[in-house]
Amino acid sequence: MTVQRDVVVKKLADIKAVGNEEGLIPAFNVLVNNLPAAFWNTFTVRMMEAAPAERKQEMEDALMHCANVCGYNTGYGIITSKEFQDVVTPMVTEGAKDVLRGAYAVFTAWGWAKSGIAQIKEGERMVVRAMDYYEADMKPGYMMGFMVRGVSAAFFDLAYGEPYPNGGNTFRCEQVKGMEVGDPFGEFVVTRTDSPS
Amino acid sequence: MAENSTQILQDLINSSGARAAVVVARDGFVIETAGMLGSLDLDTLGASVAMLLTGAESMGNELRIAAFHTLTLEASNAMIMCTPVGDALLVVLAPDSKTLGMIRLQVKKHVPQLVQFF
Repeated sequence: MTVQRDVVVKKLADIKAVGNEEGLIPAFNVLVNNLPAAFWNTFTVRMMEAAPAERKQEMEDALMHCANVCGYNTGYGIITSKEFQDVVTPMVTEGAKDVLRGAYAVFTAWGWAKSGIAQIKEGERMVVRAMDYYEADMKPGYMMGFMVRGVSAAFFDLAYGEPYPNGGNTFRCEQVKGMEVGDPFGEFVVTRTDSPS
Repeated sequence: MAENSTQILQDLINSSGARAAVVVARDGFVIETAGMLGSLDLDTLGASVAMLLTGAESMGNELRIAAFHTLTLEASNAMIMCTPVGDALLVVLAPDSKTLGMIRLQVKKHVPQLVQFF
């Protein structure tokens, strides 16, 4: 037995997500919002375009860092939430690996990215594949899956780094394939920050 | 080292006469596909494979046998072969069992190459 992804997705899809008077949706111990992916994509492209050539890398790192911080805190909220404990935890039989599988099922159920783990070397390396992620619709001429990159490094940190909130910089994530540049899927590789790139 | 897993799956199909090959993670996530899958719902296929894997493992535990290395389903109009590849499962689909021998041979040849990706 391990986490059954379709069970998680179906059960979570039944949870009512209703915004409060400020437009925020309280769920999974955190507040989420409901904005069109095009909003974030446009924001990202404009930020990248605004950066001069010599500072593109800096902008890329900053966008990835935003997703990383969000993923670290939201991810912790997700895996400690009542919803996760009720739906995913009973299926966890392989420790941190299963918690990660559950986290990607939640990530998929909430429409952030249809994604999952392709390969994992516990505590060292993880390969994530994603289809239908936000940025997949864009054609910017470069890989821009910053959200999946940041969140994947954060999830791996929650699973294998220092206990929350003392981790956060143990892992990095590189994008090696992207639908936005014509590949059939996005591929993201998480490794330790202290390992050679 | 092969450049990518898509090429290896495609080569497996070409050399074995299978119709399609799918790599499914233990949780049912469909990692990769190759070949002719038509309008098949891949999410449902992935979920079915995950359930099949759970069932096979439970049966193995109950019977106290080692982990399975091949699971073959034969029907009048299809043959499905499942083989563990790393932490995932390779599912090969064929229209019938006429090419079973060749599929077994090619799966055996290609799995060591696929393991580096899954």
